[in-house]
Amino acid sequence: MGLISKIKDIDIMDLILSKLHGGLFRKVSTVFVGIFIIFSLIIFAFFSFQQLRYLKNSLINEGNSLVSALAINSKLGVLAGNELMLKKEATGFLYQPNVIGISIFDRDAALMSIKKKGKEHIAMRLASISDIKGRMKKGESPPFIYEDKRCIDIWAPVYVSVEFKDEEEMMLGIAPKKKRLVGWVELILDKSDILRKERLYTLYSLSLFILCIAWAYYLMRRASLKIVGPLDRMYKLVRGFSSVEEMHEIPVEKRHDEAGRLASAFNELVRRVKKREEEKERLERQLLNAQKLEAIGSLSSGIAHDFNNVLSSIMGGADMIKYHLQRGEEISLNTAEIILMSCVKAREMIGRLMTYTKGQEVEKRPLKLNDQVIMIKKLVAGIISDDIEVKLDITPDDPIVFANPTQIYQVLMNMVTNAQDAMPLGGSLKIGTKVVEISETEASKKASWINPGKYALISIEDTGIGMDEETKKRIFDPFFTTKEMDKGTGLGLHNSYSIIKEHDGFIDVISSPGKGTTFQIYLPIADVKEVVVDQEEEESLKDLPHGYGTILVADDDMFVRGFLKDLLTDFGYDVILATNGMDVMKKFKENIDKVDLLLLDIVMPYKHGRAIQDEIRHIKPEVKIIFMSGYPDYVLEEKGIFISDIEYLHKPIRSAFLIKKIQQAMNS
Amino acid sequence: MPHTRLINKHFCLFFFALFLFVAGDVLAFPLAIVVQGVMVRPYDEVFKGIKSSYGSNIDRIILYGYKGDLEQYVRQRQPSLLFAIGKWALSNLSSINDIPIIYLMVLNPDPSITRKRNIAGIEMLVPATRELFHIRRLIPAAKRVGVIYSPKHSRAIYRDISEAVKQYHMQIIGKEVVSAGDLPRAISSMAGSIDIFIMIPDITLITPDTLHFMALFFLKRSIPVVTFSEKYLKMGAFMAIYPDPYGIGVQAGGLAKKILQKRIRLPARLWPKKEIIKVNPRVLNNLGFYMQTGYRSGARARARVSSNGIDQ
Repeated sequence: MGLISKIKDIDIMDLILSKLHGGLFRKVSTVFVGIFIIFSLIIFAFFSFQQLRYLKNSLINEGNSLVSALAINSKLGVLAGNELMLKKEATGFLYQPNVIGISIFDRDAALMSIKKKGKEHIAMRLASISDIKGRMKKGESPPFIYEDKRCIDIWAPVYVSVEFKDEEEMMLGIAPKKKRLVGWVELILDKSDILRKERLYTLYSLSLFILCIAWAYYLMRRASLKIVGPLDRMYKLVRGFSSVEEMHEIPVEKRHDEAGRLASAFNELVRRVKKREEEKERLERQLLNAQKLEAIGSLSSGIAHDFNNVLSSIMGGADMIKYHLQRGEEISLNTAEIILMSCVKAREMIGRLMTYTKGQEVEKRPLKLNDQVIMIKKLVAGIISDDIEVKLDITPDDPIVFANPTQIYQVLMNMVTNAQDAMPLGGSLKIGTKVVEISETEASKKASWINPGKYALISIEDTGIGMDEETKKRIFDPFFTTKEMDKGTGLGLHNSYSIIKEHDGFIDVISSPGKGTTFQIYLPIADVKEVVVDQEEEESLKDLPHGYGTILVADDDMFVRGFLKDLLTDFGYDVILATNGMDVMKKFKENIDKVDLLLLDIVMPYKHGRAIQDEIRHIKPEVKIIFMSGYPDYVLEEKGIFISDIEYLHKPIRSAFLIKKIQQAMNS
Repeated sequence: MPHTRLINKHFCLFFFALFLFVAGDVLAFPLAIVVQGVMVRPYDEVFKGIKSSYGSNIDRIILYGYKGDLEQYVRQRQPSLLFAIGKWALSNLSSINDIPIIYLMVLNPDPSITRKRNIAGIEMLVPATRELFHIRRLIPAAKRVGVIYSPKHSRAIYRDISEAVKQYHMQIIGKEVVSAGDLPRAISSMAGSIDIFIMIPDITLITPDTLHFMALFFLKRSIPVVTFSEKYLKMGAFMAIYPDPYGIGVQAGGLAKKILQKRIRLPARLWPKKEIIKVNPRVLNNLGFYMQTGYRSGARARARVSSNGIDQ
């Protein structure tokens, strides 16, 4: 608990872990996606630009081809000045896609033919023949291209071959190399189609880009989870480690990278913390035992006081019986009743003492809280200082809670002890019970695990020195104590808090310096109407019929043996007595045919009751066996005697109850 | 002694062979020089023909790239005869008046040269009658012959064709044009009025562009075009009729012998004896014509046609 509490205290660790979880993933994803987006945008822009360039170049190439073809096809028309021929040529080219205008000029820049689609192409003309001539003079090669947002204007000169140099070349078909400029052709191309295609391609590219981003994000997420996964698991385990007190190692998956090494280091840390936790728990148990011994020590004086009183009653009653019997007088029933009541009282006292000293876990069961408080009041009456007045204020509602009586007893004793310590000069201690209703709003204010509903409230109110706010905040912390060294462990209230929390309840403390302290213990009301009462106390010998048969009684205590022989004989049974385990086996074998039932003390010299049972079952399986013991369960188990599968009678046993059990066994 | 007889026998055989070798040269025609303008295939064919006919006692000079003094060279070599292949070669030899010159592959030689008394030549054109003969045989349905000529350069040729057309009971549609620029209009005006078009070699009218235009124009209207050079078949002409260069060479070699033997008086001009007819098979198919019996099918086949028939 100590280390866990320390980790709890370090809020910064939570912060770091949360940053690690959210931050690293976010950073990785942001960087990855960011880089991808930048690259994608660059590629997208590059390809868009390339697409546009490609489309434009395609259009220009197409235009170049067309204008070259037009120049070739129209050269004779230009040479001959035949407008009809030119018109036909121009019309043919105008049918080509994207061509919106064609003009043909002679070498003197006179327009010979013009064809157009629509009316605006003239306005689109981007150059004149003088511009073209200027470019040709500079040595540029045709075709000459002009471009604006709407169209591309392409010009080409019209050449014809010069005549053959002589007949010889003509006859031989040796074409003259020189050409003669005879005119110009102009072709205007509409760019709207490529712009439309560009928009379409951009849309496709954009869709692809978005798809790529989504794909990249998916990949990034997978990759990031691969990296952050172990860290995330570590974070959750650390969280669990600090809250639930459960520690598990991180599955490292044979990774040797940074995440794997970190997880390995964490696992090493977990192993060490676990080891320390185990060591700490062992020390805590030892400390609790010491605390119990301390409590037993303080209790023993009170119990001794009560026990002496009980013994006084028993001894007095026995003296009276002996006296009357010696005088031949009748024995008073009242005297027997006094002895019996005293014995019951003594058994209760021992039971409480045993309960308190038990180390084993006792299950929760419906418990009348008023009875517990009354019992505490009785117990503390003997141990608390005389200058402290103990008052009881219990509710007539008689609340029943589902609780472990031992733990409740431990909590109440702890509270009372603390109250006594808080009143060194004496004062008043008031123990009370009440039933309260807790609303949803109040429940949320009290503690996270509290549900609204009915609660039983036990208040322990003292008039002691009280506490300041700082002390109040820390009283439930482990190892926190205001007592002197060697007088307090600092675990009492912490354990009380934990116990009540385990019962789905909580503890409030109201205190201020000089004005005393009130501990308010809230426990949820159990949903039961009545607590089942042990029937043992209700039986009476006079109501039981006599029986018959032979009973082998074994107990190492001669008084118990004597008492049992008298009792069983009075009720019609033949009794064979044995003093220890060996004696039991001997007597059983001697009377194997007679013995119907064995009444065995579990713990006896030489051989304990379970071992005897095993042997006898082999010899005579049908014989009945009833066990009894003065030891509690945990002592028997410590002695290596397993009693989980048998029922045994706890000493001291009421006679009527014993006879009834024997008769039930005989008849079964 | 038999050994000595054997040696004598071999010795005699050797001397006989040497005699034949030397006598071949000594008995061959005297040296002739062939002056060739450029190295083109038809001229080479002509040269081969001369050589096969005249013999090997021939020098050849290619003018293209020749940097020496041609006349000086000729004077030094003292040939008995000169052959001029092409107009360029003829003009370069025109200053020589004392050596017989036979010109070949010259379309319209300068009359001032051809009138000289040392000049003889073989025409570069197939006679119009022969041309019409082949046209008639190949395309009997063609009755109207279209011809475009210029008054300055090709009226004589037009006249020859007109005469030949009459012989074959055909009709000539002639258009006179002055320049190449007028050609498209003249050609356009012929559409629908002719069955076949004969292209006349006229330097003022024929350019690669006009040739191309003519071929395409007539092809569109399914009118076959007959041209004068194999080269123009590729431009879309239907048929080319032109003198066989090798045959011209052979003919020239024979003419040279006659001149040297004084069996012919100069000046003299002869028609080529053999011509080549080539047909463009694609155009043939496009026009829907079929080769007449007697002509070899397949355009790439080269038919040597003589005046009396086909000579493979």
